Amino acid sequence: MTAQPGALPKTSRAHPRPALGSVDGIDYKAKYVELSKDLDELLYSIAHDLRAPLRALDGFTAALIEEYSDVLAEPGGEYIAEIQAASRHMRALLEGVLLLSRLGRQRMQLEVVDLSALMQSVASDASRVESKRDVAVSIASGCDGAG
Amino acid sequence: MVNPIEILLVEDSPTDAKLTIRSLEKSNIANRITHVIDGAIALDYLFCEGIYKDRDHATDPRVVLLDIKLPKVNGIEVLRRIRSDPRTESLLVVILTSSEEQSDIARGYKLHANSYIVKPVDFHQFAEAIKSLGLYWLILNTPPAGNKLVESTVNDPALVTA
Repeated sequence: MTAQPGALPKTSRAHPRPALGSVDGIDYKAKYVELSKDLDELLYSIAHDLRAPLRALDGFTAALIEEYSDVLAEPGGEYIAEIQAASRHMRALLEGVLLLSRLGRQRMQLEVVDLSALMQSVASDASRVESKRDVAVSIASGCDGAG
Repeated sequence: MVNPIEILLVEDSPTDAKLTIRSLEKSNIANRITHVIDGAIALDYLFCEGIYKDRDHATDPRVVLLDIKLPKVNGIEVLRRIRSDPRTESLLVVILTSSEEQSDIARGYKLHANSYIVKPVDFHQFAEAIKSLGLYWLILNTPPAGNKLVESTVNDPALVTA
């Protein structure tokens, strides 16, 4: 397999990109971005508010164990251990949601990506993996995009 | 003559207040904890007004544990009032809150909170944080008014009240 740069036209310069996301004057892209942001904020709000009751679950079961384990016959101790495990699991899930929502709320940092170089590297990786196949690859040079 | 170590806990959640008070009591450091549930009562307490008009500034708290999200007057406003009055400006204020919003942290420090602690969700970490907080601010740290009391009030069961 060989890669031959320069065989295709340079699309990013020859053809201007059409406006994305707008149809009949309605900016769907902007609407999507706004809704996405609202969703992330809602997720954050819910996850954040659930932390306090979770802390209470965790804290008072720990208090039960610390102060009353001597009067609590089995399987009482096991029941409490189950409650603690469940609340810790719930907390782990919530922390995941919080993290996800935080990522969503951050601005996307767009930068110029050299698509030609990216494709060259994909092509050379593929030729290493599939060295027995005879494939001709043409990659235009000088293509880039925002991402 | 021994001065009891006073803590003012400004916390609107009864559950968080219970957990905090329990952790403080278990660490055997603070012996007089006053708990108020909103920013307005906190200000009355700190300035000896309203229902606290008979309180004396001699019993000012050694540390104020201040939540941010409070009814009536929020924690940031309480802090602003504390720092803008000569009677209270040097009070040790530790913000103890669930908020880890960058804006709240920045404002807390800008208004000269002494410390900003985000309440951990994990209770064990929370209890450790309260204990460390108590040890640091009440024992290790030298308060603005100097060290009038050191070991005498620590672990003295006769003084434990809450």
